[in-house]
Amino acid sequence: MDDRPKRKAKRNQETLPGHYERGPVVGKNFASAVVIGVLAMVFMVLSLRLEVPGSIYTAPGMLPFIVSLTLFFMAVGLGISALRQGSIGDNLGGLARHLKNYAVDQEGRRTVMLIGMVFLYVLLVAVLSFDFRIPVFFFDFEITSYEVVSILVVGMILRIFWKKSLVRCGFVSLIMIEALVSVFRYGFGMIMPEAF
Amino acid sequence: MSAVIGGQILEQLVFIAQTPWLWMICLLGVTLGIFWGAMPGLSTTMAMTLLVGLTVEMTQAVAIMFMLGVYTGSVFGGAISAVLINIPGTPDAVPTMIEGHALAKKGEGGLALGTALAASFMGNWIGIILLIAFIPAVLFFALQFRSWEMFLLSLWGIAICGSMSSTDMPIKGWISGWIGLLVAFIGLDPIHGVSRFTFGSFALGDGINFIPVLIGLFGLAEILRVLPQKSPATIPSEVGRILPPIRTLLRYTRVSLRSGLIGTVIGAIPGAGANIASFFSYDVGRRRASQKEKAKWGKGSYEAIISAEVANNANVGGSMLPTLALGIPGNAAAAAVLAALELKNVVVGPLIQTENPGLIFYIYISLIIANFFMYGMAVLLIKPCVKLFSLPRTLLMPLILPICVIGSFAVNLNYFDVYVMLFSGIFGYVLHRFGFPLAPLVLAVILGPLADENLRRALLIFEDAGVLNVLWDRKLGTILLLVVLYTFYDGIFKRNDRNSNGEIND
Repeated sequence: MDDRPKRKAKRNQETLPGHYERGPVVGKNFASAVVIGVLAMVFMVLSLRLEVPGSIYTAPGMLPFIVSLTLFFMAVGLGISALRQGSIGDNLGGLARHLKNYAVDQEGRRTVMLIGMVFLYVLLVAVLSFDFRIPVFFFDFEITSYEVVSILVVGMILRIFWKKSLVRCGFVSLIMIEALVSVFRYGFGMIMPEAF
Repeated sequence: MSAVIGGQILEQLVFIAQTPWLWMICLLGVTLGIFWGAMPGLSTTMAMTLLVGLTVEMTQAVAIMFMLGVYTGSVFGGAISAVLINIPGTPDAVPTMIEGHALAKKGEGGLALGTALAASFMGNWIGIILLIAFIPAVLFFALQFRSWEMFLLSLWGIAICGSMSSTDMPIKGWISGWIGLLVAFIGLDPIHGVSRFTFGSFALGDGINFIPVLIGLFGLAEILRVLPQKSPATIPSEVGRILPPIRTLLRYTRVSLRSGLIGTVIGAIPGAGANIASFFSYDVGRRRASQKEKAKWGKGSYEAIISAEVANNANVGGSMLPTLALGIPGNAAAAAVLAALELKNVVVGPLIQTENPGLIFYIYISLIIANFFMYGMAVLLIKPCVKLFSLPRTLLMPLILPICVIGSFAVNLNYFDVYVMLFSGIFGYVLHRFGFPLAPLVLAVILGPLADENLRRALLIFEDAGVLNVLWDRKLGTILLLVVLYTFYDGIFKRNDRNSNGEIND
């Protein structure tokens, strides 16, 4: 009995470690080919617009142009292989279904929320700048904006995804961040990302 | 001559044996290195560059011992996070991550790490022995790599990485690598100082550092991928057997010797580094493996771990050769060793043996001692590490986030790198969703500047020479060119044959 369709379906759903997720790749490959093709063309134009101070052999835009050109051909190749698997309509339909599923799916929404929180974290560390120094025995113990922001944001992420009590999440966050920062700051003499 | 060398080796051995302080400092360096390497996203280069400051007050012998301890420890440490949480410390740990994490998910994380450890140990030994025995031959071969060959070697590294990480559709791996090359071109061009793709931004003028890109693509992207899952898979906490039986290891003798040779020779080529060595050896290993073993490749193969780990550890010894003999660091981490030596007024280069007799041998003996300590410490640390990383992902992943921020900031003490990490993480997540592998992108960001500068230099040299003359005169380059073309041909036209054999992604 021919089990090829079954095998193909199974292959499409597998997620392999260290590689990439398989899924309904038809629409994805087509969309990727279009985006990469456009990107390659933009870089080709930008490479051609770069000045050439010396010989053409040392032109700053030479290799970027060659890379963009070959990237464009690769995008065309990817597009052709996507069209072999389905028509343009199939591809666009597949992509629309994928995007719709992603928006409806809880995992997709949680990812968008997490990206928002990480973005907020990076922004807060950049914007806030303060530090307190508490004399402890023979050295000044520092608490800076980086630690405060990290404890709050990591505690919040733990509360949402680890789903333990607020106190427990806050405590774990406090201990871990302080331990981490102490090792880097006092052990390795590193400057923490703060006060900018 | 050999009697003089033997005498110098003996002299250094006696000196080290009589100085227990050196042993302790080596143990400290190795331990710090393993912990540093095991932290997701914190690389060997970062460990070396940050810890070089600690050597200022040390004597020459202590500083060298400490830095080599850190170097050896951190190279292995990168495998711990790669195997247990799927986030490599360094790009060269990516093949180990692919194979090791698959095994860790099956409950064989301890044995996977043990195999990586044994391979690292063997790799270090092979690197050191080959170098001591064949210093002139290896150096002669390494010096045949000039601008044209370096360009082709870089291109080959990216091409192999692309085919290896996306075998059922190599074009996706190459696209990922080519995007990485475009990222690498951002900043001031190294020959004329012309701004490329900076759009007037001062921050982009310095270019994009590969460490924030690595942390973003593998650290943050992994957090974004794993944390929102309803029930993220954790690795089993049972450790089981750690060290593989000697009989099993002996079965891989040929693989180890081959990978060690690859790692040492590539390490000796200035600028090539462990990344190319690791991927190249992984690729050669797959091609040379039996059909039965090939089926396991990509799903958790011990032979694949040995291929990659032996090569990237043999690279440590290899990279020291151009560093010491020519004053040209084999890779970024070796550049930090060079900095530590220069801090101690050691002028490296062809005269090192005349001006500092015995120093080369002291360095190799230090590497051997560090190798033993690395083995001992790692055996002690594997069990606790497996237990630690088997904690729920929903607890572990948020705690990795601040490490990603600190790690990317620490590279240049510039907050712009944190934004690069953030953007790379989100971009990596999107690429992953669309089925593109991430490893070629990182490798291309590292090798892009090398490829660019060397191609342009080579073309200037070839300006008045005909194509046929170049092909004939630069035989090594011609061989490499054919190998690069074959890699692309193999990826495009032999894909269907390979898939029918049931390799990597199938």
